Amino acid sequence: MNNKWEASMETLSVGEQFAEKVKDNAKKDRIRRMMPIILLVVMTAIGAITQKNFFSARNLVNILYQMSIPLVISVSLMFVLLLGSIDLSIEGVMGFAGSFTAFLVQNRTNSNNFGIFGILIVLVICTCVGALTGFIHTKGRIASFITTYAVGQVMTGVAVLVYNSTPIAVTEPAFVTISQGRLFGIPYLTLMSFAIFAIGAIILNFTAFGRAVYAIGDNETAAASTGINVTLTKIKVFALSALMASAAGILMCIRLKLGQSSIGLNQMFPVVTAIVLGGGSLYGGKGGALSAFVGVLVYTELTNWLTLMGVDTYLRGVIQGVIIIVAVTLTIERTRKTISK
Amino acid sequence: MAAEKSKFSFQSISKYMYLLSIVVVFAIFTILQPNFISLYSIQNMCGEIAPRLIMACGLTFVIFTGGIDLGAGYMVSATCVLTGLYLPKVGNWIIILVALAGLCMGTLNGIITTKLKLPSFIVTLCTQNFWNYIALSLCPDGSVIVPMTMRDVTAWMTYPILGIPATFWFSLIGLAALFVFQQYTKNGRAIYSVGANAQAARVAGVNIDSAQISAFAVSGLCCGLAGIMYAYKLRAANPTVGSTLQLSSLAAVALGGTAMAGGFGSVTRTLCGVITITAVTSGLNILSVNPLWQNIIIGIILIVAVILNSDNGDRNLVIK
Repeated sequence: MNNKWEASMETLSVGEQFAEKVKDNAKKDRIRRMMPIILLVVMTAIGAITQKNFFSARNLVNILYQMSIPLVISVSLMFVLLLGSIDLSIEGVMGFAGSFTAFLVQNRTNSNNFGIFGILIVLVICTCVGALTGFIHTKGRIASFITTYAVGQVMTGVAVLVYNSTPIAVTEPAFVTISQGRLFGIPYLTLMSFAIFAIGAIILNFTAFGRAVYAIGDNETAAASTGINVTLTKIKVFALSALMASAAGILMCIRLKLGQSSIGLNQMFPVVTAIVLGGGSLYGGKGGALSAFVGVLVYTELTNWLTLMGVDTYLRGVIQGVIIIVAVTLTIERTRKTISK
Repeated sequence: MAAEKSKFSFQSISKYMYLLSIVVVFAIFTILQPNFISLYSIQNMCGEIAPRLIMACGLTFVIFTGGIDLGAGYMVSATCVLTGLYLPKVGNWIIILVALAGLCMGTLNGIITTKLKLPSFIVTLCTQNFWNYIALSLCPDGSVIVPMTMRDVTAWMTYPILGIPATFWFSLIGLAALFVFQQYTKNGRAIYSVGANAQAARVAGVNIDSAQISAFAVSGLCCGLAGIMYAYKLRAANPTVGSTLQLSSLAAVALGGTAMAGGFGSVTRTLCGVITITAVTSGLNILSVNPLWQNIIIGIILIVAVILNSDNGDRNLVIK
């Protein structure tokens, strides 16, 4: 990715340089917008060729089921990545939400039986944790990755402490109904996660808050000068992120009927990969609900295919890492003078 | 006026935090359990400190540049596995080979960060999967024990000198070497300048890329050495040894007062941080607190230390 406008800096006038730069950015934008669609077509083609019954209703439902939890997590990351921040606490919060839900509803380990209130308690606690993370990040002026990393570690610790190293088995009848029920052949869990994603997409696209997130990600200083309360918006985003992460944790708990911290393990990184694949930027301001959705879909097809080819989980992590590095390299805006740390 | 005052006290706390924290932690644990500063306990702690110290000091250099290495823990796991598995084949020469391997891993991080111009936390978040893959694919069924016949070959590393394992003294030598590198070499000073003000450093003729790469290389080398120490100490290739080290070494660096934004700090400060963190973990063990609390407490220490260290000077700086 040579920047032509830079190479010709000596020979061109300022105006021409600017025009070159704009053209260059427009080209990158086109790549960013086209990439997910090309990838989707390619992955679907690969799937259709290598799998016999790829387009069968059963396989499509299966893909939708597989993408349900990542889809909920993608709502978290969608907002956070749009700010240009990152939330490394998602796995910890998910693990905590799952464990604590199992702890509060009817289970084999203790006599708690709060039912739906148990779930509400978990959602409220996790939202508060997210708000606290956002508060520390904005008021303490600490980079989000270090704040969320520490919070994530703390939450993982709390999660393990909740069940004291013996995972809690859930006996709540409602959980069994939800995890096994289907509507028109589609599992309830899938429908719930799609509904959650739809709400997230509506908040992002049709509320002042959602537009503020875009504005801050694009240019924080400019957003602040137009009167957007940057600090409050960021705190809200981190609270929302933790809320969605906890929803994902609860869904996972319903699915497994078991509460343990490892339900959050390796859940965040694949979704970051998915969003980057969908054309989202880790630098903020770019991406959105549609690109997150397409990204998760492409990524699920990719995982499906990798599993089919017999690629093991750890190698999948390596592949995710390479994908992120390549995708971010292709879409990042930088000049020869940029210094990254 | 009130803001002025609180800022002042804040700074004075963070200035001496690294010494204050040692005193406070040792005082608390000694009051709760007088055996905490017994000779046996101190000797034990010194053995624990060695690999953590080397790893955290290496990490300190990356943080000097304003970057971060989120995959250092997995790097320790990978090098520990390499050492444990190939020790029976090549004997003590493995130390040089694995140290080189660590150096290469760190250099790879550095090259990706500088040449592709990506933020280091993203790069290391991605590359940590590589190291994790090395560790887990070589040891898919958990720890592999080094054969009994190799015990004589590995014994020198843990041979007690003054009642303290030799690894501790090696790590002190390593610390001294890193201190010299940090204070008195051109590259060491360049690493600081990148963290303090990269644009100014470039204008002054500092080769920023090579400074950043060397910081990552040193970090990788140190992770390699820490992995070797663990393999020799545990006499096994343990693929998960590093998973808890990432948090504690970051916390140690932050507690030492090294600025997360770069440009300020020292490996000797990190030494203080490592002593405090190790004291916390072993103190909790002595008090027989549920070990599950450790991550929670160290995580909170990390947050508090980073808050105390954060530079509140430039209000206009955008922090993401």
